[in-house]
Amino acid sequence: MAEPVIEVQELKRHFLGRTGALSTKRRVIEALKGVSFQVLKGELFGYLGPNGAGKTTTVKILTTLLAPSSGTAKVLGLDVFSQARAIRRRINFVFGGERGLYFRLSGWDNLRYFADLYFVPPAIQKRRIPHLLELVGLSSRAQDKVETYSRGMCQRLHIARGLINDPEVLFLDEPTIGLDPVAAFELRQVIKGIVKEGKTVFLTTHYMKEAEELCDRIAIINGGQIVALDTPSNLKQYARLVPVIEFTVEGMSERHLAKIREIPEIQAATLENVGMSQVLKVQSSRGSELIQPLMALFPELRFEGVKVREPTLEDAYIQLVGGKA
Amino acid sequence: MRRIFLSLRLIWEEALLSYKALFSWLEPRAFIMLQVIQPMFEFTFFVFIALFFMGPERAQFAAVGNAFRLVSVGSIWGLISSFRQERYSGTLKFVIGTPTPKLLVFLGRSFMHVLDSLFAVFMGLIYARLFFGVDFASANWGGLVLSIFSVVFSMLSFGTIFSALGLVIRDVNLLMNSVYALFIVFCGVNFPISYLPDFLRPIGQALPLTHGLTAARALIQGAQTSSVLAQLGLEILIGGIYLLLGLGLFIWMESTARKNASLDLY
Amino acid sequence: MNFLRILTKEAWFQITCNTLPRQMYLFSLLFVPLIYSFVSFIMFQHSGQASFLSYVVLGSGMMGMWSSIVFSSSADIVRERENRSLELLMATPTPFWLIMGGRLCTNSLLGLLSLGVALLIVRVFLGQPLYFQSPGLFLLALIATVYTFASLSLLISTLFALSRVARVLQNLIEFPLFLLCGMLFPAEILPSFLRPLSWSLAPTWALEAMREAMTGGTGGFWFHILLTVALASFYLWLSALFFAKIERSVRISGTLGSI
Repeated sequence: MAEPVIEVQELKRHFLGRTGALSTKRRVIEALKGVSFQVLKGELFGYLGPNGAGKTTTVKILTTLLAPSSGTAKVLGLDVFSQARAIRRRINFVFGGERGLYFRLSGWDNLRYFADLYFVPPAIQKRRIPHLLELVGLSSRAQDKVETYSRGMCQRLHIARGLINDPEVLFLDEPTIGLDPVAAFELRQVIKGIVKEGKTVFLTTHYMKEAEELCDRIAIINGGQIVALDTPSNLKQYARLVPVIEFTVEGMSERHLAKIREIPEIQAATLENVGMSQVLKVQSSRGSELIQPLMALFPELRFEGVKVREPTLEDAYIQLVGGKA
Repeated sequence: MRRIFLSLRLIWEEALLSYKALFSWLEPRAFIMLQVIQPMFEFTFFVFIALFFMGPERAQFAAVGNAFRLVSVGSIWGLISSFRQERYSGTLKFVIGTPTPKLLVFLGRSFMHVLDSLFAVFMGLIYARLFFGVDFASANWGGLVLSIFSVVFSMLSFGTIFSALGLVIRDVNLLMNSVYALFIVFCGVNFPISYLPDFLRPIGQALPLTHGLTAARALIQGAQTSSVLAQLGLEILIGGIYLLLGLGLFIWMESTARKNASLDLY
Repeated sequence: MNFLRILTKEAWFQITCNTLPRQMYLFSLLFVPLIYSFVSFIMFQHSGQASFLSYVVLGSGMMGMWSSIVFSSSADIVRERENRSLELLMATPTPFWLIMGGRLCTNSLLGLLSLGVALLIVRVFLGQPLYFQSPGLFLLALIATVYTFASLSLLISTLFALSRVARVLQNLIEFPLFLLCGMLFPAEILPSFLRPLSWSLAPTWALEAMREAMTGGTGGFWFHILLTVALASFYLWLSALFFAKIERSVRISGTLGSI
């Protein structure tokens, strides 16, 4: 039985924000409203949720960058607030995006700089830096300044930086965001490799496919609370009872969508732009019965196709997260 | 007649709009900071240097010099900033694309900086009077005002060259500070040009500010306007030359940018 | 935790990233002493006081030093935040104050180049004889000066990071300090209401000490050194408080790290 490497109990975090640029009134923003979970050693744990759900806040707390407002959070048995220094040596993290690297330094120098900050002995640096550069595919560009790197390359360098101290736990906050499909795919292979080495990985993402492909267990977080925590296959069960109808439609607007959501039999509805037309996904226990009434409801719209299918993790997610956000 | 009126209106609106749009980020606090307090400290600093090394009379000399030097903040830095701001907010290409003659646009744009600069000089002279006892009792005010306008004109003209350069140079801060250094050293601001070694004096003679300042100093002592006409004329002439150079630079840059797309202007 | 190793590394970083590549920095470091030594020298020539040469050399050197420090160090922490690497630095096991401290110290040391430029110009290009009455004491004063500027810049960088208001004042740190610390003229000639301000600024005393070591002045050398070190240490202590506040800001209210 693997021991827990991350333990979170009733974690809460609020921020004080201002209501407007000029007013002095303070507004309390509750980013986390009482989150509890455990991550086991060697697990690839997924944290899935829409923007603003509290994913990054959780990661910042676990990586000792942010203090909890209340509740406890322990990483490797150490408290994130009071024992932060000890934790920092043994973990590392990667946030998505290009920023956070030193543009005037080369890739190699960036790694060397952070290696020093993590007290990696020079002898080990000599081996590890080339190895990591090889791992993320940046060996040929290692001596070039980071300002010449593309976004994908920056992201890969970040991953290398995240591994520079050979951490026991690696936190990845939306690592594939903004990457093209090929780069994202390669990155996912790297992540899989990391877990094979016995490290624990905590991954946040809002890409369902990614979560489904990579994670052993997934926690779905919305509005600062965990709404579900289970393996991907179990999560899909949530939606199994509720078929999904997919309409290909043209001319649909938010107004129409709002109207659909008001219908009581409909559990969730989303609208997506795919190429020139739109895909309306409706989840309802009434299933195919609703096809005709829905189409009749909006005679002004063009319905080009209808499909009824089995729910995927994405559908489960949409349902759990409400689809009414 | 109507065309003249329309043009004037255009210039006025352009002036107001551009100043508001481009300097709205400079809230009053920052404005005061940059245009009033910072120059005052510089001013005071230079006058005290003169006071220490050369005595009270030279301190007053430096006080008047620095009051006029303050023009450079509004006319040069201000001008460079507003053009750069224009470029970075992406509006430059739209302005250039309009059918309005560029000269009118430019005149309107400079108007605010004229006001800016005038404000700076007057403030500087008041400061010189209040804190350093520069005596304006026998001053020839008419002539003095004329000299102020001539300096503002030539400084702004000088500034056009740098606003054009400022559009393409990356580190404009460096350019600015180099120009400021020129004024501090060569224009007879802190000490008479005669103190400079011979081979350096011509530099000051060719720069704006120098001649107008000489005239201003004489006028403050009460000289007749007619006696300083030569200096004032030189100042305006120099200003005119720089203006032509600056506008020429703009025109050249615009046509090059259009032909080659080499200058990343738009 | 190898203290020295971290310091040298931060020095390397500061030189490679934040100082030499930036042209304006080089301007402040090398050109400012050039301009001001020239201008003050011309005025010196008409002063008739040989001892004033010390003002020309030390004043312009210190102006360059301070100018370069203001340009670089004061915004060091703010720059990290804008680069989004502030959090990365804080999350490492190396103490944040040590990382920043190493960089700021480097700036102060580099600032000595300004003094070098001033010395070079006055001695070589302007052909003036330069005598150091007590070279040993001068060296001591120099070390105290570096310490002073380092601690002052540390203090300012933390203030900038903490307060948006402070950052508006960025333009105001340069000349007021030139004025109040008596760089190109003794602080004594300033109006009396300004003198307490001068006295509370550590560089004022450092400059006094350096001048005395150079010209063999009033004999208050040790007193001035003491004042410099005491004030600079006070600034350092304040900075330590502010660093703690920065870390608290980042971790507890979560405001400093994110934009």
